[in-house]
Parts: sequence; structure tokens; C-alpha cells
Amino acid sequence: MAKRNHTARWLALALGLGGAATVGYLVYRAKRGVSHLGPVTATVTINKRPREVYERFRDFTKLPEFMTYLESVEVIDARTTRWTAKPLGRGKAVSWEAETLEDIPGQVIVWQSKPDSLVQTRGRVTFELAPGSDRVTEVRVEMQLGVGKLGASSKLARLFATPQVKGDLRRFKQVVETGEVLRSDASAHVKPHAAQPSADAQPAPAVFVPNPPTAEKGLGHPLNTAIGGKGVA
Amino acid sequence: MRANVFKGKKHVAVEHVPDPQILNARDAIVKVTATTICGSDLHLYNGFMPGMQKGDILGHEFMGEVVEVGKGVKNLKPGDRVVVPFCIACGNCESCEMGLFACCENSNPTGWIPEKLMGHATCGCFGYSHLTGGFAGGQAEYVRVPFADFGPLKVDKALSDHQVLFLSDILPTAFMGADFCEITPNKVICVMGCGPVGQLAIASAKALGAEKIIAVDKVPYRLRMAVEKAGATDVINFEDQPLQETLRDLTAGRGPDAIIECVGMEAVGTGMQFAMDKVKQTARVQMDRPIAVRDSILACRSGGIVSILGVYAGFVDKFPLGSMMNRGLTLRTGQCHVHRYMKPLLEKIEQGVLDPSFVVSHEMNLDETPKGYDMFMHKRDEVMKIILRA
Repeated sequence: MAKRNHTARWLALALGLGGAATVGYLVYRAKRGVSHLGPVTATVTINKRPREVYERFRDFTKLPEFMTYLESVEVIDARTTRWTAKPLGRGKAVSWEAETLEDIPGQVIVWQSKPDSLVQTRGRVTFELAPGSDRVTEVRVEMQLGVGKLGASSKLARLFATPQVKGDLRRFKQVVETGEVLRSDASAHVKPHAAQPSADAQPAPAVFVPNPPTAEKGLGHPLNTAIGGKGVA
Repeated sequence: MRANVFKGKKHVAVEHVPDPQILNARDAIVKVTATTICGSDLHLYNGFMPGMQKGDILGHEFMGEVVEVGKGVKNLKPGDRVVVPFCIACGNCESCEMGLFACCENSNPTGWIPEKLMGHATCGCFGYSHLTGGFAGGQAEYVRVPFADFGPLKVDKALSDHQVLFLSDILPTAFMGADFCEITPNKVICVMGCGPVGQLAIASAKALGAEKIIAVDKVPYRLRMAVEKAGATDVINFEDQPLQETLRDLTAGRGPDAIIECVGMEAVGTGMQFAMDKVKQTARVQMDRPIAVRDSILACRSGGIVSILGVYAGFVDKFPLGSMMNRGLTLRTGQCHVHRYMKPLLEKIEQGVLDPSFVVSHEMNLDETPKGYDMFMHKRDEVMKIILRA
């Protein structure tokens, strides 16, 4: 009998804790003002402080520099933006309007397309300091994607958008860390191209933000002791 | 301009291609004055590296004269004589700040390809397949050099091309392999493979104070150079002598304290295992022939270090993990973090402590590159390192 009491007490405690955690999580979610979006679509680590990374991302009109599927982003008012994707093949360019639901400098941006848009998208991008760092930022994008009345889904986003978003984040990292999107003889073309120069390479985005190298050459690695480096002995 | 391009398996040709242009603000265009054929180019030539495309310009070890710089390059000007690291590094990412330049996170625009094969992206390299970015290589009259404000090393005209060219790849690579070995005079070092990197690994181990260095190869002229020029104290020709037993004999049963593997995915060996590896690699069941790595692990002293410099691309079979685990070996490897070693090694060359020029065996015109590949592959005319002049 005593034993059963004991078990029941533990069970009650566990349920109580679980319940508290759930309530806590719901409160946290409500506080952040976003519904559950599903699994992370893509992530990247950037060697700059969250505030700087956020600010570069928040400059919406410049997103097409590294989001290669976009033609343009126009800022209509403080909450509304108009996004235009590049046409696929000979098709027409698709546009949609989105609303910025949440915008905490250096932390998070949440967006949602207008209900009547053909392209349905909802998403959140977060900027967090990497563990133990005072400078490195972890960027996470969670998003849902869909068409018209079917609404947005995170499954569709993972299926169709993840490779694109991963590429976008890789280029975003290049822009923030090195000042521009790096091109190679092969990558400067839309279609597969040999690694040799060509006259018909895609024109480069004009933007270059000077960003001098921060790494030190020749020194500073733990294994680099034999040549008189300042590494750990 | 003229450039040596990949046409298909065992087929390269010097062709006229468009001149490179500035594609990014931090680019420079370098007029190549001297370049080489690297042992790792043979893996591309023989069709064992994935991600090659017809028309790719090869070559990753080169030096030259700056002819044009992008608006973001302030430290170089036309006329500067530079040696260019084969691996491309931005100098801004976390990996670069940690000195892991060959793991640069920004220099590979086609990084999604190695991500699929290797789990994470590699850095970009010149002329080394679309896995490493799809950058045109240095076996050409001109090359576009990305992140030119960070990579290229300016060198004084007083030093000859033969002395400084190898700062681009094989000297830092060989030196890093020796640096991995935590060399002290009482440690026995073994170098597997006596091609150009192996020769310089022996010279580096000697410069770092090793007193006993065992060189392993099967080509007599290479073993001869290892002793006469590089500084090996003992040699093993594994076709004439059983490798494991001879290494044990030379070290009174202990095995070498550290082994530098300078062979790579096209290793040759003796016996059944080699035949199996060759069949599997040809059938594309296995990407690499890891014979030298297996031998190194089995031969190394318990608690010792195996330093892998040879190039590998994918997955291997019969990896002696049990030997490695039970005997507490440390395995160190990597594409060379060239930027880390260039300047300190240039100083060593200036001081006369190291002189890599002894590996040069031939000079050719760029037009003769295909002949050079064939000669290097078949080890004709006692070839060691071929220098190409545009």
C-alpha cells in the first residue's frame, strides 16, 4: 500500500511538471507571437555578432543579392513588403505581399504572406549567439510554403525550399563575412559550365561591402608549434 | 590564352580559351610564370576524382605576376611577384580565424556537392574539380585568384622560382605532415611514398630534428633521391623487402613513432589485397585504394601518430580500425592549411634551412603539358617534379 502511494505521488509530480512545462512553453510561444512552424528549414553559422547579421538580413531590398530566386523586394510600409520571384522558364514573374508579424532587432523576424496571395509562406528567422561565444551567430530559418487556398506547410517547404534556402544562407554568410557572393568560373553560370573563363558569365551583383580579412596567417594554431608560431606549446 | 584542359580520362590538351576576368571585388588576375603538375593532378587525370567536367582547366600549384586587381584588393598591385596557395581562403570565417584555411567556409561556391559526399563543404581549390568550387586552374597563361587580398604571398626577386614555387602546395603540405608528428630527435619517422611530397616530407622531418628517417617506395631512383638529397637514413623498397617486417627490424620491434603517408588514393602494393582494391576502384565500388594508410596503421608504434597527406575522395574498405583503436594511435590529416605555413617556410628558405628546389627534374613549356602528365604518370626519365613555363 505504501509502495503504491509512493508511485502515485511520483506520477502526480511528473504530470505536474509536464503540465507546467507545457504551459510554460505555450506562454513562451505566445510571448514570441508565433505559432508552431515545424522543423527547421535551414541553418548557418556566421562569424559576426547577431545584431550585424540581423541588420544585413533586415535590409529586405538587398535580399535578392543572395536569394537567387528573387527578382526584387519592395518595402511598402513598416509592416508590408512586396516580393517578386524570377520567372521560371518563359513563365510570368510571381509576386506576393508579406507582412512582418514580429521584428526584434538582433533576434528574430517573423513574416506571413497576405491571405489572398498565390504564394503562401510563413516563416521565422532567428539570430542567436553561438554557445560560449560573444560574436558568432547561429541563424535558423523555419518556414512553411504553399500555393493559394491549400495554405502553407512545413513539409512542402522542406521538400521544395530547403535546398534553395540552404544555398541562400550559404551566400548570405559570404556576403556578411566577406563582403559579396563569391563566384567561380563554373558557378558564374546558371547552367553547368566547365571550370574555365567565359565571356558570357552572369553579371555580378554590383554590391561589395569592404570587409578586410580578420584571420592571421602563419600563426595561432595549437599544432603550429614547430615553426615558432604562438600556438599552445 | 592557352590552358591545359581536362578532356576525359587520361586525356588533357592545351587549348585556346577565353582570358579570365575579375568576377569579384577581391580578385586578382595573375600572369603565370611557373606552374607544375602535382601528384594529385594524376588522380584527376586517371579519372578517380568525382566532379570533373570536360573543359576544366587543371593545375593548382603556381606563381606569377599580378596584372590586374579588383577594387577590393589594396595590398597587391600590378607587377608584384606572388606565389598563390592552392586552397582558396577568405580570411574572415571562423575556420580561417582558427588557422584552418583549407576548411574555409566561404571559398566553395559549389559546396553543396561535397556536402552530399563528405557531410560538409570543403574549401575551394584551383583546378581541382567541381567538388572544390569549379575554379579554373593554374596550368594556363593567366589565372583569376579569388580573395587575392588574403592568399597570395609576395616574394622577393632574389629567390629563384624553383625555391619559392612549391610554397604554393607541396612544401607546406609536406611540412604540415611532419609538423603533425611532434618530432623530437629520438623519434623514428617513416615516410611512405617518395614522390615530390614524400621527398619534402623527409626534408621537413630532418629540418625539425628527426635523426632517423625511413623512406618507403618501390622506385629505385626515388629512394636514391630520398637518401642523397632529402635526408633519409634508411630506405625500404617494398617490392624487394617485406614492408612490415623490415620496419620492425629497423626499429627493433617498436615500429616508427610516426608515419607520414604521402601516397593517396592510387596506392600500389603487393598481393591479393592490392588486386582486390584495384578491382573495386575500377568498378567504382570503392573510391580510393587505401593501401598505404592500412600499411601505416599496422606499422606505426603503439601510441604513435599516423599523418595522412595523400589525397582521398570517398569511402574505403578494410580499414584497420581495430589496430588503430587497440594500440591508441592518433590519426592526423587534412588538405594543407597553406596560408599558415607559407610565410614561416619562406623565412626558412631565405635562411637556407630548407631548399625544396632539389625535387625539380624537368622544365617544359606549357604546350608540352600533356606529355608531362604521361611522363609523370609512368615515371619515365626519372621524373620527379615537372615545372611548366607559360
